[in-house]
Amino acid sequence: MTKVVDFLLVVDDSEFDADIARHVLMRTGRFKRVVVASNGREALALIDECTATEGQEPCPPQVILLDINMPLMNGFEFLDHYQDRNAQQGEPSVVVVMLTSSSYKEDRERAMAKPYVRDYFVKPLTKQRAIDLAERFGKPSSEA
Amino acid sequence: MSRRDDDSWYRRILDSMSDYVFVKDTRSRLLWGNQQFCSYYGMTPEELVDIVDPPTTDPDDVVHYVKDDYHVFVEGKPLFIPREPFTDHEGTVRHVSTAKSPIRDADDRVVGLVGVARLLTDEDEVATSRQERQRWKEQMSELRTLVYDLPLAAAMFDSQLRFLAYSQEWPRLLGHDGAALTSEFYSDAFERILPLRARCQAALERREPMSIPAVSIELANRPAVHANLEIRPWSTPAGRVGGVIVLLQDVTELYSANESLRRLNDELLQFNYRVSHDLLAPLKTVLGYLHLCEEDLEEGNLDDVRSFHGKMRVNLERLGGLVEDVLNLARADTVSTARSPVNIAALVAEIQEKFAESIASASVQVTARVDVGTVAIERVRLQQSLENLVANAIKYHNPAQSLRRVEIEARLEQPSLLVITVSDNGLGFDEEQRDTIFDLFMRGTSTHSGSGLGLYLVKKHLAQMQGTIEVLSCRDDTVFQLRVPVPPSAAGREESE
Repeated sequence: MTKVVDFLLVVDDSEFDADIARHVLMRTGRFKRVVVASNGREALALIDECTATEGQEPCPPQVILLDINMPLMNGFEFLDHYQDRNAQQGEPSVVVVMLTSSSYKEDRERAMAKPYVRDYFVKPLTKQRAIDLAERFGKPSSEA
Repeated sequence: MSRRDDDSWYRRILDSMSDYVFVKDTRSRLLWGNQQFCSYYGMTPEELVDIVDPPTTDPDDVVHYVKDDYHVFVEGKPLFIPREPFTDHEGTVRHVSTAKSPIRDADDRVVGLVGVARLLTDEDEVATSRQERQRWKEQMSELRTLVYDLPLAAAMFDSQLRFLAYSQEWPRLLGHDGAALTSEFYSDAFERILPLRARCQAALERREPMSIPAVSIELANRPAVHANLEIRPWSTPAGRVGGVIVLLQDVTELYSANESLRRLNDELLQFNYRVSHDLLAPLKTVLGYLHLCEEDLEEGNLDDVRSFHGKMRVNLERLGGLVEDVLNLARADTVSTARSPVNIAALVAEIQEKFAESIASASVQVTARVDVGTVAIERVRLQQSLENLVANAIKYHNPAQSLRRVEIEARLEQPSLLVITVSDNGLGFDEEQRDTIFDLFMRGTSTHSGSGLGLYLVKKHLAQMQGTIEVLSCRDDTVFQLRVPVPPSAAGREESE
């Protein structure tokens, strides 16, 4: 059965990379809602906001595509803050997949040791990777 | 003589002896002496307590005593000294044979020693003792002179870590400007700033030298000193360890040079990481759009291709700018440091001309007020610094402002300080970024592209010119001010033209 992701959050300071990710994800038809935050701080605010307006949209995101190098709050800092937040407000079922231009082994190892992180993609996001994402972390589509 | 458990009964016995009986603690300080001993030293039992030896005793003889005491403490066995000098309170030297025995506490730890000395009567023995004393004094004198003249911080200690001699560099390096140190215990004067007791004890016990590189010494009211430490036991001709010589080689400069090298290396590593990341990022972005374009072209869907094409162009231009910044930065350390006469008004006009296109497209009004003529300055550094500040002021304009201002002001403060201020009423940045805005790869905003190298380059250029760059304001009006010293004569002469 085809699997879909209801809500995916892209966290990337590059408007272009976020744009590419959105195009690639939407073209697979497996992602119902793709939202972009431009850094970790904005992502946290967005998650808090959507949690507060529960019921209107699917929330929290099932999948977060997370960049590493971002101003104000980078990907690693986001993961630490997100973990702290969830420790207080309850653990959501969420997976984080890193999407970064860094192919450094140190970055990969550091990221994979963080909470929620299930995979590490080097940019650009390809269509095949996007489909795999939906297959691995999505839910069976009710419309299929 | 009936109460045998009475202390005075034992004391009377000891006082009755014609031998000199004394008790010392493990630092060789006297605790007690019998009547013979006290009267020989001309002291009451109370006056005796805590001194190592009376002032009439030759310091070289004291070293000799202390060395033997130490042997008893370390070996835990009695020691018989067949002959040694013994000076009374009037300075008369006699010769004695002495037996020193360890005193142990209930846990069998050596807590002191008891010594029994008897005057030598055999004239040959006395003569030998005199000769030995003379040789000992000559050896000590040689060692002392050697230590005193050493061109580094050096000190010679007896086995109780009392100063026997020290070089002139010693008090200077350790910031000691108090009284002479000879006969003082090291621990009283310096243990707090440089703990050595345990290390010296270890060196004494193992009879092996010990080296510790770059020991940090915290001094009051002065920057910390770093020194390579060397502890070397010294021995008597009879092979008995007499104490230690401590050598401190001042490596503060080397250490700080090393530290700054390490910092530079860290910076370089971070730089490599970020530059390779930032160089790769636009390439990966272009690659991403290329994938999308290929897919669209295969499907004959050209709706998005034009927009993707434009975005690829923007990213490649950004990559070009970044490469240029990196090259400028790479050259920042090596560009010609020669000052040349620079007409500041002409330079500012040149920069305005260079940015004419972006000034027009951002609808920014740039005004310049230059109250300085020609100054002798490193042109490339000043030009790149100003270009960066002006480019930022234009780029980070506030679209919500109807009148978008960028103001450049240049003046001479005192005869020899060029002050240039670049201000704008643009977006500014957060107060919390004020301290980090000049750091490598710090970007004031995520909404505008930038290498994060620009202000770092400016700071680097200013530092090279012995100048400063400062943020005077970062909200409402964003104001950067750079101050560069310029030779007064050139500035004055040109200004008067």
